[in-house]
Amino acid sequence: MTDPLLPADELIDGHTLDELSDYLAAGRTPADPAIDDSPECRAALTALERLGRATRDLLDEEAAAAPADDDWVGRILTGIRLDVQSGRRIPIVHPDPAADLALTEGAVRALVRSVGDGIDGVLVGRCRLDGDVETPGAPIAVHLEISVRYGASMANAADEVRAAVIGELGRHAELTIASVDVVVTDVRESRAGRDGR
Amino acid sequence: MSETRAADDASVEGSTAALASSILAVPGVDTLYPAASPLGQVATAIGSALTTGAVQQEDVLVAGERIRIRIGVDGMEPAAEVCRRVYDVASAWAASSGRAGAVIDVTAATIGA
Repeated sequence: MTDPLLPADELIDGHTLDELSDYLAAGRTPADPAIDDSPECRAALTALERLGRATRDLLDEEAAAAPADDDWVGRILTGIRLDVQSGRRIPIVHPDPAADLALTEGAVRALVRSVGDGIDGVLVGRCRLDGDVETPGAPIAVHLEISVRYGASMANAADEVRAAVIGELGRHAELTIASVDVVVTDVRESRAGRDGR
Repeated sequence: MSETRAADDASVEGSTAALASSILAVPGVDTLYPAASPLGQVATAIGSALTTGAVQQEDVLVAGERIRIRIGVDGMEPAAEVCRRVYDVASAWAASSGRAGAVIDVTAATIGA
């Protein structure tokens, strides 16, 4: 299905996710300044690294050579491609009128993704900031789609993600967070679990 | 390009390089990204290749009364606070280089990435 928010060329600062994945697999060598100097590409590489670790962990748990159902991987890859786009400027208040300080929306979404991925068993699929982020003090609703590992409590995972996201956004960004909505869209079920029923 | 203009440009380049070093020394700054837009980077690369034979990338963009800085922060220090520290450093540099009053644009493009 085509995501209406996805850029037509599906490129991240001129690179496909496949190219970035290959670059990661090659140990980021030879160094490519067009990738290394791009914040969008760096955020995508970081997210791909975490996804790679989670996939390996899942395979280790299954002690199997073949990958499990990978629909959730595709959804996460789509989310990464969308979320790392730099997006809107989120202003940082400063008393000096000569100061034009901001975080990019992409940086904040990548931060939220990183925080969510840091919760045991959780991987973030999509992250969206709804509201006028360009106006200081405007209420912002954070929407997150996550997948959880089979067997983990969905409610607890959502609560942990919500608390962690509020904490980190409060520390790094000057947003007025009105809500953090967490939707569990996938359960990463081990093949062993499926075969056992 | 006149010799005087070339000397002025070289002076600005050296000076922005010093600013870039100062920014990278700010606690919490992890990376300094090229500040020009992608099109601007291409134009700069072509221009410097034509004039000096080498491709140079400006980490800090000084254009008229505007100074543009794009950073990655390490995620340990609060991102907003890091931007303010970078602004302080850039503001002091602007005052010392005859650009007092310039608008200083500091954007954190990555946090902990």
